[in-house]
Amino acid sequence: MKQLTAEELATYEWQLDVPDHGVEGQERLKNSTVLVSRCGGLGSVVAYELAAAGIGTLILAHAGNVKPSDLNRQLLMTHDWLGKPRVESAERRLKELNPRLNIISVPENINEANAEKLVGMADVIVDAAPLFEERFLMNREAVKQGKPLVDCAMYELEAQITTVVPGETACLSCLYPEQPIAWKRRFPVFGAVSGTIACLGAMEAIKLISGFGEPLKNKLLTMNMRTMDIQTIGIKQRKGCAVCGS
Amino acid sequence: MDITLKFTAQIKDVVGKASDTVTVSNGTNLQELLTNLGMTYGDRFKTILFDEQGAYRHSNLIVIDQSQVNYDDDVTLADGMEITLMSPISGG
Repeated sequence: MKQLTAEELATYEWQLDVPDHGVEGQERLKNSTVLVSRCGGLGSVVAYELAAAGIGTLILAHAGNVKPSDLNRQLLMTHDWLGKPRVESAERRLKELNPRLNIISVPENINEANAEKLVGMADVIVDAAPLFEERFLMNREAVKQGKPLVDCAMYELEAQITTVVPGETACLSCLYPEQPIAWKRRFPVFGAVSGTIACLGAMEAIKLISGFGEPLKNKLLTMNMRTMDIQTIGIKQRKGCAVCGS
Repeated sequence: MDITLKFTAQIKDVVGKASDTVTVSNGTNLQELLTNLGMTYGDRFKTILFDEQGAYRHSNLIVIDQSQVNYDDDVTLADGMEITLMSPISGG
């Protein structure tokens, strides 16, 4: 395991004071890889927080070029990068924050052809995709490969998050055994809503890797930012789940 | 007896409000309530909750008093119960 350099010890000085994290936890972050897909309103902030926290390697999967309508929430995309690849903008912004960060940029969304390989390269997966097809692929591969997956999602002023630990918890297909019919590709969103749940997603990944705290196992945290109502709902494995077989 | 209903995401959108209160008779179970709600809130609501054969779409989560329950669970409603119907969301 690679040890922290003097520069890293200085950079992470304040978070090394977090009880149960310390140098050992920080070294685990440095030696870990997180897959973030995609790097939109949610994934951008997940990636930024993980970069700030000193994660060693980020795999960023996101197709397409930066569009004007990305800029209200996708904080790794910038106005001067309009029309250019999103993953390049993300990589540039993250490197400004943390030049030590190793980034594997994949200019594709998660699909049947790349899911197994990309999940296989990661220690933790943060699922921030806008389509259930992509989420279900990441969930399937995470369960098959025994990798924890943090699933965060939002709609309008509502947001939710849970952490899937294969063999211990409900998986995404336990929660959603069928293709949801009402979900539409375009959804109402403020960046502050996606960013809020993204920070929780980053924190879940940090806890899983460093090994402290209590991840949201078999719990679905929901937030309604219109009313500031926050709840933790007990969720359960589904008998006969097609993915985790629980 | 009175049941408090809460709705999220697309279900909230088709109902047109985030919460409601309905009065049901003693002994009503969860399946009967949801079937009856289809008549109260209309076809778009019914289409989200049930397929063409009338089978429940299990990707809509049902939460009673902060715990998930399955549509097929044997749940008899009680006065003051709070039931949340959650539409699956995937915004990223």
